[in-house]
Amino acid sequence: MFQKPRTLAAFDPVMQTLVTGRRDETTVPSQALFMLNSPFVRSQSLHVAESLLTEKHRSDAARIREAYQRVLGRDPGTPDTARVKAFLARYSATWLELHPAATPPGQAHIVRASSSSSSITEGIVRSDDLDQDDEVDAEPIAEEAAQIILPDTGEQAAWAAFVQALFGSAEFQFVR
Amino acid sequence: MPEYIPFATTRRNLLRAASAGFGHLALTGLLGSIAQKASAAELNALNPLAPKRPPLPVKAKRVIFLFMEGAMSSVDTFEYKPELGKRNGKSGPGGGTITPSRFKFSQYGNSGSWFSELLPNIATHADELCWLRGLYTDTPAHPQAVVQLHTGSANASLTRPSWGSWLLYGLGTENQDLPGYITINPPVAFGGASNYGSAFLPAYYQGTAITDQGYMPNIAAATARKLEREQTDLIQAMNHDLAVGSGAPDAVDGVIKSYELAFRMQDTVPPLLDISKEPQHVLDAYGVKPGLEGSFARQCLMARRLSEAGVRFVEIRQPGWDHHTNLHNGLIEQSRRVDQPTSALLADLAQRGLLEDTLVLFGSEFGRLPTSEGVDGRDHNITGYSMFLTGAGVKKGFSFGATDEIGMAAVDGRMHINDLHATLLALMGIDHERLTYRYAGRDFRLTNVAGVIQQQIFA
Repeated sequence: MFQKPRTLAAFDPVMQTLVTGRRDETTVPSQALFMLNSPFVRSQSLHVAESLLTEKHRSDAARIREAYQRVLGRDPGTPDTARVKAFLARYSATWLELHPAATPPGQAHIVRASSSSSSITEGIVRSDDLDQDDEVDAEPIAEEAAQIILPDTGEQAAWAAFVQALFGSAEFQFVR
Repeated sequence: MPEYIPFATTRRNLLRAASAGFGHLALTGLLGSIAQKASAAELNALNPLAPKRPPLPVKAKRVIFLFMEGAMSSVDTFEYKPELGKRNGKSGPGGGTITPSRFKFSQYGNSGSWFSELLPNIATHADELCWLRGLYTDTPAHPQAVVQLHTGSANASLTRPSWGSWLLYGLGTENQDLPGYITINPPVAFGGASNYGSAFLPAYYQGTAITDQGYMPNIAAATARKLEREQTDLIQAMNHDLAVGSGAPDAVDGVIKSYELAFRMQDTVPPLLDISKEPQHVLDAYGVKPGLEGSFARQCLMARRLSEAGVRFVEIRQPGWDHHTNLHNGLIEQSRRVDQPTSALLADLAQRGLLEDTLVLFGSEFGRLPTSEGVDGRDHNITGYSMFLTGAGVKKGFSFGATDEIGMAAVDGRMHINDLHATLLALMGIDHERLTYRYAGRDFRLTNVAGVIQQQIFA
C-alpha cells in the first residue's frame, strides 16, 4: 500500500481516499514543533551548516548569502545579513556557556537515543491477534527512531540553528 | 518604475503595518514586551479553535472515550442472558450453537445491574452508569465498523471527519496551550489515522496522537530553552519581515501564532503526559505498570490529567477483544487489563468533580454472538450490543434499550451509530443537523442524513 511520507504528516497530506481539488494549507503548532524539534529537520540543517563551514577562508557574509540562496532562492538584504551575524555571535556564545566541555570536533554528532526509542516503540506494539481477514493499515506514530543531533562546536551549532531557522521560516514554507 | 517614490511603500503595506496586523501582536507578546491580554479578543476572533458557545444547553464540556477495539463480548461481561443456559446447545437463529457464558453473573447496586465476575471493579459503579443496550451497526468487519464508530460512515470511498474533530469544529478548545483532541494509543489498523483524522475539515481539528508511553512526536525541545528562544526569535523576526512586506502569504500571521503556541506547548504538554510524578496511591489505584499489562492503566491516568487540563476530547484504546478463538482466557486477560483502571478513572473523575461536566463513553465497534465459533470463540454481532455512558448529562443507574432474550438482536430502544452520535452531540450542546461543513458542493454532517437524539437517557 502506498505510504504517505511521514515527515510531511504535519503538513496536510491529502487523504488518499478523498478527491481533493484544493489542498488544505493549515498552520498549526505541530508544524512549528516539527520544524523546531524533528531529528530530520535538525540533521538536514546540520548537514547544510557543515557544508557552509567547509571552506575556511570564506567570509560569514558569503556563507549567509549562500545559505539564503540554497534555502530561499534569493540573496539576503543588508539588514538580513546583519541580523544573522548578530544571531550567530549570540547563539554560539550561549551555546558555549551551556556546553563548557564541548565535544572534540569530528565526533559522530547524530546519535540514536537507543534507550528512549525502545520505550517509545514498546507502546505501539499490537497486543491483539489480528485475524487473517482483517485488513492491516499500519501507521505507527513513533516509529522514527529518536535521534539526538549534537553539533561539535558553538560555531557549528549556531550555523545549524540559523539554517534551521531558514527552513522554519514562513518564507520557506509558502511558495509565492 | 519611477526613480523617486514619495512613500516607499504601497497602500496595502501601509495599512498592514499601521494596523500592525495580528502577527505583530503575537510577536510582541512572544517577545514578552507587551501584555498579551490586550490582544486576547483579537486572538479569539482569528482563532478557529477559540471556545464557542454551542446552540443547545450544554450538559457536557468534555468527552473521554474508552474504546475496546476488536469487539468485547457483551454476553460474557454485562449482558446477563439466563435464557442462553436454557437453550444451551440448541441451534441459534442465524445458525451456530447457542452457548451460555462460562462466567458467573451477579447484581450490583440499587439499580441491580448485572455484571459478570470479569468486571468486579467496574461493577461497583453500577449506580452511576447509563447503559445503551440496543445498539446496532452496519458492517460486521472491523475496518469498516471501527471507522463508522469514529466517523459516522463506513463508506471507504469518502472518509469523513472523526467525531472528535466535529466536536472541536463545533466547540473549539478550552485550553489554548494544549491540543483540543488527543487520542492515546490510537488504532494502527482498522482505518488507522482516519479514526482521528479531520478528513475534509481543516487539519487543526484533527486528533493529536500520542503513545501509551505518553510520547508525542517533536514535543520535546531539542535544545536548551535559552538557545531555542534565540532561534525562535530569529524565525519570528524573519516571519515578521515577510508579514509586513508586499505580497505576503495570508498564512504568515498563522505561522507566527503557531510558533508562539508551539513554544508554550513544549512546556505544558510533557509534564502533563508524565504520570511518574503521581502519588504512589494514585498509581496503585489505577494499576499503573510498565509494558502491555499496564497500558490501559497508564492511558486512563493520562486521560484524567488531560481532561482535567481542559482537553475537549480524549480517546484511549485497549485492543485485543477479537475473540474468535481463546474466548475464555482472552476475556480474563483483557478484562483484568481494563477493569481496575476504568473503575479507578471513574472514581478519580468523580472525586475531582470532573464528572459534573465530563462525559465518559465505554465500548466497542460491535458485539459478539451468543452462539459459538469453534470450540472457544464467538463471531461478530452487529445486530445488538451494548455500551455505557457515565458522567455529565446522563441518567445514573439507568438502562436504555435491550437485545432479545439471547442477546442476538436489539429489539428495544434501538440505536444506530448515527443515533449514538446525534445523542452525544446533543449532550455537548450541538444540534447534529445544524453542525455542517461544506465540502465538494454539499453540506456534510457527522450523522449524514440520519440520527435520532435519545432524550430518554438525559438526566
